[in-house]
Parts: sequence; C-alpha cells; structure tokens
Amino acid sequence: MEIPKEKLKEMYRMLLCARLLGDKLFEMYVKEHQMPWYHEGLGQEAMPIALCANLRKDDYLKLSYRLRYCCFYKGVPIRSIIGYELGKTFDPGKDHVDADFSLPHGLLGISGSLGEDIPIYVGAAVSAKYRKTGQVVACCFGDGTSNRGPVHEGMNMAAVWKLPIVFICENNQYALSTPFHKSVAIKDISTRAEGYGMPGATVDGNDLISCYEVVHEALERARKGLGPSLVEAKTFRLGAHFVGDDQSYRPKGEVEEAKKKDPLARYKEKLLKMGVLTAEEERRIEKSVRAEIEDEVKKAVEMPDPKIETLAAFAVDTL
Amino acid sequence: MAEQKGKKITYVEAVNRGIREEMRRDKSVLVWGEDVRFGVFGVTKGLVGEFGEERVLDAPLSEVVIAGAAVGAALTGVRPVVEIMFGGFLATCFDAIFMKMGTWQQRYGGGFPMPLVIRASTGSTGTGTGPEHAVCPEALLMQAAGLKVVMPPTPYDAIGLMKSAIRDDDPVIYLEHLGLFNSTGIVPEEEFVVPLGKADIKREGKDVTIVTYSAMLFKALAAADKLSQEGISAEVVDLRSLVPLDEETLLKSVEKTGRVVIVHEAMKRAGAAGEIAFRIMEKGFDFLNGPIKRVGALNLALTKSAKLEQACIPQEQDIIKAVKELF
Repeated sequence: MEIPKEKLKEMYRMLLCARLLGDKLFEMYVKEHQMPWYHEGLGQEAMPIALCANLRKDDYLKLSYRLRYCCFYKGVPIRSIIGYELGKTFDPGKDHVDADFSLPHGLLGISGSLGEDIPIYVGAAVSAKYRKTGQVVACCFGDGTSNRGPVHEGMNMAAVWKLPIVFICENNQYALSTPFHKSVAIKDISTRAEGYGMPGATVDGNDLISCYEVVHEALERARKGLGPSLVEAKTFRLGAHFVGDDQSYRPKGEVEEAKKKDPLARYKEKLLKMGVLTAEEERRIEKSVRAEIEDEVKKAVEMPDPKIETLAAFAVDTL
Repeated sequence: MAEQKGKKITYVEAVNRGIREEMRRDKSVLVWGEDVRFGVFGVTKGLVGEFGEERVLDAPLSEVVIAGAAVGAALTGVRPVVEIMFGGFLATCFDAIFMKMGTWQQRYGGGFPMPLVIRASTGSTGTGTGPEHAVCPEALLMQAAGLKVVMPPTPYDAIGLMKSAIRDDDPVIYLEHLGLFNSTGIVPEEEFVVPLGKADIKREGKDVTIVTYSAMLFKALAAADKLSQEGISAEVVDLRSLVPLDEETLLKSVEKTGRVVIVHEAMKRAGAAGEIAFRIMEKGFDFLNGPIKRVGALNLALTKSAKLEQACIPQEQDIIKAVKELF
C-alpha cells in the first residue's frame, strides 16, 4: 500500500518522540525520583506508533502498560503524561492529568491486573457498534497477558458479537523473566485467532511500515462492521521488566543482538533511503522533539499537587 | 411501609417492569447477560420482543466480559443493565466489580459518569440451593470503593430501586433474592421511583429496632408479630440500600427504641451487620440502652441439604431470641 510521504514523516517524528519521551521518563524515575517500578518500553515503540497513526481522534485505544506514554500521538499532552507519572493534580470533572484515563482522547484506562481491561474495551466496542458512530477500538497487550482468561473470553465475545475491535499482542518474548516459549506452547499467538473465528496475522513488530499496513487493514475491517481481528507484533523488550530487575535470567548477548533490529534505526534508515527524509531534516526534527519534551517536562513539574479536599467528590457514601 | 393501591404482581414481574420502563424512557439502556433473551428466572423475559436484539443481547458464558464490558460501555455512552445469574458467580468477575467500577470512576477524577447496573440473584430458596448459588455477597461489595449496593425485598422496592439504579450515574449492584422471585405485592400502576440510600420503616414500633434488608425482612416482620403478642413493640427498618446507608432513618429509630438487632442472611463474620452496628455506635451511642445484637448465618458454607441449609441461616425464632435478650 502507498503511505503518503507526510504520514511517513509524521510517524518518524512520533516514533522519535516515543523513544525520547521513554528515555526521559526512565531518567526521571531512576535518577530523580528513585522509583524502581518503571516499566520501560524501549525497542517496542513501532507498533503503538503505527497504530495511533491509523486511529481517528474519537476511536478508543488501550496501549499496553509498557508503552502507555505513546498516547501523546492520540492527543494526550506530553505534560499530562509526565504529570500523571509524577502524581500531579487533577480536578474532578475538569481537565485532569491522568494519561491512562482520558476519555476525551478515547483512553478508558489500563488495568493493574493484566488482561482485565480487555473486557472493558470489548464493552466500548459494544457501545460503538450500538451507537453506530463508526468508531473502532484498538486494544494492546503483551504475550504474558495473552494467557489470561479475560483475554480469551473477551476475544470470543468480540467475535460472536462481531464487534469493531482489533486486538494487538505485542510479543516482546518475555513475561517478566519467563521467556515466551515457557509460557506459550505455540509459535505464533496470532494462530489463536482461528479458534475464536477471526482473522489473525503475525507481523515484524520492529518494522513500522509492516505494522502500519497490518493494523490499517484490521482497523478498516472493524470500521466496516466485519468484526474483530488479532494482530501479533513480534518485538523484543530491550530493557528490564522494571527498573530494579537485574535481568540475570537473560542469555548472554541476547540484548546486543536484538538492538540490531531497533525499530527507530530501521525506520530512519528506510526513510533516508526512500528519500522521504534527509539527514538535515532528521536533525531538525530531533532538535525540535527534544526541545518540546524539555518544555513539557518543565510544565509538568510546575503542575500543582492534588488537593486533599477533592477526595470528597469521589465518595458515594460517607468518607 | 405505606399501604399501596394498585395491581398485584410478583417480584420477578416487578424487576422486569423497572427495566422495561427505563428502556422505554432511555434508548441508551442496554441489557446483556447469559440467556437474557429467554429470561431464565423470568426477569428479562419479553424484553427482546419489545426492544429487539440490538438492545437485549445474549452473552456467551463469560461473566468476566459481561461485567467488564459494562464498564467500557458505561464509559462510552451506554447504560448497561447486565445480569450475573447467581451472586456466587460474582466471584468470577470480581476484578471488574471490585477493582474497576467505582475505582476507575475515581481514577478519572470522579468527573465521568459510570452508569451501570449489575443484577444478580442471591440468597437461599429454602430448598437447598447449594453453597455457590445461595451466596449473600453484599458485605464484600460494600468494601469496594465507589459501588452502590441495593437489595430490594418487595415488588414495590424492586421497581423503584431498579429505576433509580438505572438512572444513577454511579455503578450500582442490584441484588435480587432467589427466595422472593414468586412473592407478590401491590404496586401502583403509575410510575414511581424509590431513591437509592433511603431506608423504609416497614413496621413501626417503640421498644426495639430490627434492622434488616432483602428476604430477611419477612422473617423480621413475622418475628415482630409474635413479639407484639408478648408485649414487645418492634420497629422493623428495611435498609433497601446498603451503600449509601440511610444513617438518618436508622438513628431516628434507635433514638426512639434504644435497642437494636441487626438481621441478615449472610454469614455473621464480617457481615454487613458489623458495619451497620458500628455506624450506629459512632453516631448514636447515647441512644442505646444495651449492646447491639446481630443475627446472621453460621460461619459456614451452605449445603445442598435443605435441612442443614436452614439450620445455617437465621430463622424467625433466632430473631425473637435475640430481641428478648435485650430486655
């Protein structure tokens, strides 16, 4: 398929922004806030970016927790994404800083217990279908989460009810320390699609253009009312599960080998080769993205802390 | 309890009427669950005929999705009324109920509505319903942040509370009682609602307050009748809603009587009575002439044997005994 040059360029900026924002969040967590629970998305940014590039503003999106900061491409201000991580303010009923939960941007939330959010997004698809708005739902999760019951039950019901939803499994080869082949007995998770009665496809998750093409087709199918699909993006978790994880379970040299398939480097090289991007443009984009992120960090840090009095607004009974 | 004029209907017909009226009123109300088109207990019977398959959806046997999808739909412009057939099966979708509904609403800063109703049948029929079908899960649900919990005992309350639950912008758990499905009551033919969080004095009295809800109401009323023959005037307060709890009505009654017995079908240990008693203590300690008594099921699983089941759950004489101990 022909992807317009402007779109290709836009996606480059977004992919770079994802990488640099991820680096920034990592740095803020580790160096400044000493919080060891941060989950890096390093090396897995291609699929969420390709996905957001295909979504309408009013579509519903669940990113996997590791890549949740990519929601800037869906319209969430970067300062809100950082502000949320810093626990900054949100006003009941008003503009709130909560990057996982932003209804105006189609983000319904991310579950702490993995996979339990799939049924919730299936519900958004029920709603979109009933309201006949042409909205679609995109739902990302990891290979570890793919084994949860709610994921299976959600996919089955989505297929039975022919819902406008696309399930995207980001297979980064690890569920914390457990390698993919130790928790799944099949080669490709996408082959499960047949069992639910929906199309399935596996794609190189580190090749942005391939990801774009596959999710484009699946989303169009959903938008036309033809039902759900399952897309598996084979990628690799370059970082730790969480920052405090020493990764002693990894075979030697594995990460170094995987780094050769870095989606950002590959996409940049491709665009340079295609003549869509020049080296000079690329430098200009990088400078501009870095400046934007720095500016947004500053604004996030300046945001006020939440007011304790706002808690009363949440009570359904006595506090 | 005000004497009603109108039509005699069953509890099941009442719940059906509550849903039906709200579906007519508001096109965003959708119903889904297992076998809801068929209507296994009769509650959802006939809805598909009037509202069509677009609004009345049979779900696969997947409680996790039935409940979870209610959250997503409620956040995106639909008012789902979904059925989990038995209260015990709420355990299979506990994450959606306990960790998502009220909790996610709060995580949005409380500013977004989450208008959904989960219906489930609870309690024993008196015929050996078994340990996983006769569950009274209300105390667990009261622990969930942001959830409202209602348990109507009469057809009148069933209609009125269903209508309020559907119109409410917070998630509401609506617990029907299996043993009441065929019970009847008189209900007005014209439209009415029962507000959430409003208790109802089902019998007035002056010597002791029996606080109860759901099917135990009828055992409490029978006990009150017997007690009156012995010169004890019992007031029976039907809570109807456990969250929010109508402290005002409770405290007013306790101020009048000075004695409290709390009765529920659920297990006594960590049951709702503990919370209710403490709320009375905190705000109405000076009204009390003695300790608060509670009557609940033995701290055991129910059995398939109806005889053993009935030995586990409170009976009329248990209530009478508890009341007499206060005099």
